[in-house]
Amino acid sequence: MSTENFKIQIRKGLLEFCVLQIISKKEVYASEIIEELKNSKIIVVEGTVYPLLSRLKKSDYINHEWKESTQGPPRKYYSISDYGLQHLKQLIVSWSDINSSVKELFEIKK
Amino acid sequence: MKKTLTINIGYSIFNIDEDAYEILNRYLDSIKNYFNKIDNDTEIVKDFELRIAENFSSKISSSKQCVDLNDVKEIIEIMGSLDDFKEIYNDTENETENIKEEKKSNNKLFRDTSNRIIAGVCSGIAEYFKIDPIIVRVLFFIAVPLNLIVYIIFWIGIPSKDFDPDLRKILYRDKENGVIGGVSKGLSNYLKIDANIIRVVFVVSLFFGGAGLLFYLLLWLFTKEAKTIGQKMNMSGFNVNLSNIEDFIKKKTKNLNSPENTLTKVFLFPFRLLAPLINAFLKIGVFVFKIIFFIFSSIFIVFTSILLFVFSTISFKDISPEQDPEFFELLNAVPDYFAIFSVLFLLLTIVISIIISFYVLFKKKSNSSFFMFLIFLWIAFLILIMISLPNIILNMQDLNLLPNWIDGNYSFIWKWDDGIMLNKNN
Repeated sequence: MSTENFKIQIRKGLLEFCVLQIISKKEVYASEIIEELKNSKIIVVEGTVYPLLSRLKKSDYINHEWKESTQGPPRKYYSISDYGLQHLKQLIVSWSDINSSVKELFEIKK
Repeated sequence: MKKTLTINIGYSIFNIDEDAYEILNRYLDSIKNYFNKIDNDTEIVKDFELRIAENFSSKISSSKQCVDLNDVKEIIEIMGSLDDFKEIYNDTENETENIKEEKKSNNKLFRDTSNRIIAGVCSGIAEYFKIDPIIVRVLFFIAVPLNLIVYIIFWIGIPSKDFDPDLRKILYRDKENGVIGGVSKGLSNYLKIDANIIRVVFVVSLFFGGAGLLFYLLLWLFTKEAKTIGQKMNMSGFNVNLSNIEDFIKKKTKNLNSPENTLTKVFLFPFRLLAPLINAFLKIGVFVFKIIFFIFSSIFIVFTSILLFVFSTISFKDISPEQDPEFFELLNAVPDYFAIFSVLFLLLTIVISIIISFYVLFKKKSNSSFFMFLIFLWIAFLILIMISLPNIILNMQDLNLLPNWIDGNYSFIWKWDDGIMLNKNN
């Protein structure tokens, strides 16, 4: 497995988790999500986020609402649902589990 | 100066350069296709469009009122190409029923209604074997009589389907980089072989019976010239993503500057010399062909009209047995339904030939589904006539009507009172 492939796999696994996390903090619209993800270098292109948002919506993890914007056409704002919040909590638990196990693994090696 | 178009994307209106529009359109189409397969979700495409609109409106100002190619390239870079989405979404977990179905359906033969001339049979076969429909069409054309039957059987027997035209390489003539008609260069783009090799093959084939010449002319006849950027990219089998667009534009500018080597120059020299001559000759040829076609088609149409007139006046004439007993008997032997079929058949023949003539002479295409309906009716009547004809002839033979009639004892004559009559020669 090349390093590039490794990065892709990791990103793929974490994308849903990160997007849910961002939405859980406040009501956001797509460009804001993308901005944050880009800042933390989790995604490279924006196009990958839209299908994910649509999937999360289908699984009832998030809701959306149209809001007028001061500039340009109305924007779609996303917010997390109770069900999504539960899901996110589970994800956080499993993430910290994995995180600590990986850390342990590296500490043993040292 | 550039031509611009007005588009409505994500509820906003933009003026966009023609070349930029083409790239954007293909990009959105490829996205639409991709996500339809995965989620069957139009929402995603709408989100894309909204985002693109937002980006565009930030680019537009009073000093720059039009979206150009650079803006489109930039937004494609921001949004990402199909390859980027595939990385994230095309794993086994996401391989939904739709994709599986798509894979399965690729192994089935469909008529391709998205790229058809008549019913999409040739195009469907081409899609099945993943080759260019032109090749199948040329092959069909070479062996017309047999294949006409095969074509109709396939038409009836195979279900139809719309294929995605962007996922297929299409053979175009590359006149811009060609020597005579751009056929060789077009083939070279399609097959990814150096154009000069194909040219040599064509030239060599001239000395062996000229099959290559026929093939060249047929391809010339059947292929379209690549004119738009989209077609030019399709010609080389590019998918639309940023690097491809850049590659393509780079290649194009490089091509213009790169000098040919001497061998190529020497080899192409006679053809360059001949090209204007051949082009002129072809133009004259097409013109002569049109005139001949016009003469023949008018003769055919006039002849069929006369036949129609004669037939209808005879068939639907009220004639008493006393007037001409033998003619009465002959008319009685022809059932009414047969007369009606024949008249309608002849009428349809005239209408269809007029439509075809118009198409050939003026390149005016009529409503294709209406034309197909006419052709279908025509074939149906032809079959009905074919089925009923033997019975009628047998019946006539039984009544002893046929021999005298065929022997030439009778002839058609025109009478002012009765119109056309079957008359007994003395």
